[in-house]
Amino acid sequence: MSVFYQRLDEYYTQGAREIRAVVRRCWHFAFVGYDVRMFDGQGKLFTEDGNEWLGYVDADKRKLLTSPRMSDGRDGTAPTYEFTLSLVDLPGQSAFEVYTALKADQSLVHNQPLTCWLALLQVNEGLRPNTPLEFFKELTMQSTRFTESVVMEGNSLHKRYTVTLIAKDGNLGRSNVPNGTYSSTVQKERARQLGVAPDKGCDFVLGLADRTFQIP
Amino acid sequence: MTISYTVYDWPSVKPSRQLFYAGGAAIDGGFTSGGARMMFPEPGGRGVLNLEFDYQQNHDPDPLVSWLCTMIGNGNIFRIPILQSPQLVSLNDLGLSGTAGAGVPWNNEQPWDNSQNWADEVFAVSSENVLEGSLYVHVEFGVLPLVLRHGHLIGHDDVTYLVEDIEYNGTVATIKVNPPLRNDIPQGDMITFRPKMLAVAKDAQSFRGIYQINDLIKLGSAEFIEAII
Repeated sequence: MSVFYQRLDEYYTQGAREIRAVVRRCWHFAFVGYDVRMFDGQGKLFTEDGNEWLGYVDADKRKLLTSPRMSDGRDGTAPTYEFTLSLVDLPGQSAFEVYTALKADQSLVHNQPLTCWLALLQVNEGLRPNTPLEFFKELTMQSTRFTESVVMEGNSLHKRYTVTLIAKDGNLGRSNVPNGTYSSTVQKERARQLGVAPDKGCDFVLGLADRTFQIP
Repeated sequence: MTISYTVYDWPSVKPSRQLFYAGGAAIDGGFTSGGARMMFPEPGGRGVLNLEFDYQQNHDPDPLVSWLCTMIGNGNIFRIPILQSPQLVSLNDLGLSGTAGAGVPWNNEQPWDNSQNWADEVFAVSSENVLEGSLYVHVEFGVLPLVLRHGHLIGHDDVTYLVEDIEYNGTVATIKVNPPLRNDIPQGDMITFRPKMLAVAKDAQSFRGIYQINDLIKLGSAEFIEAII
């Protein structure tokens, strides 16, 4: 077992009565020529491998990056994962400038990896965990979407800029390969194309995804 | 894209009430099957400075107040000194008697004509290298009396930290700080007991007052959030 799971195991088996550690997701966006690392917290996280991860939770506890729930892909589907970053005004650079600059760089996104890691932060470690990051999931970034909207905040109108990244996991394109996928829908469609009776052989697959185990 | 920013020194507009605290966050974790509500602590945190102001009179600060009313918006970063309050180690504690309030008066025991004393600086020295993001600082007090206590504020490089926990071992103190360190602190660096804070005002509108007759203006309150640069 990796150090990460060993430590979690120790916490669980000791029957901890108070929270002594938290786990946070860390995102590594490997854009062409630019590596962006963010984590789900406030401030900067420093990991064993020498990387710095920027926290995307602001002072109001709002998450500036919304990230979707990860599916484990065992049901054969390739869901679309969308990551949305809200752009804020920074001193010396307005959200509009950042938005325009990012739009100009959208070609740096396609087919680049997006990796999700888990960080175990124990009490008294601050933002320097000494547990190595645990790999969680890797996605491939596909495209971007830029949105501008006008919202009413109190008595005034504000312009909101958001950038959305669309990513897919390893199941993308699986159904294009012969025998590449085993979802129930595809199996039934194949049966239909071959002119045979509907094939229920893959019905069990849906139940495989994201099993939750309740520890009594 | 590099971001360039300007830091403005806080002008001589004195707040009448203030509080610094290190705000963390807790995330709602739902309920356990036994009905206990779980709140999970958020790693990290941000320093917050609450300031409240009163009437500003027709002394020097007036045009500065007008400047502040504009500059406090737009996410401008200010370097704000923490004023004397129980949050700072007082000169009395350090054995310097005859100083009422903040700072050091002239040698005839009188303040300046704006009734403020000279600013004072008190510092100890870091005794070990510590890295950004960690929670502990080691400070060598030398000849200073060991007066730093839980709840005092210390500063390093324009960042203010709360003394969450402190343990003395001879003249060396191990201090647990909140929020986590924002900069590396090498051995020999100055840890000041008169900290300053780089902060951004959260709601500019609640600060602004309106000029009245007799050059009076009543300023409101401002909540400043630590700017992490």
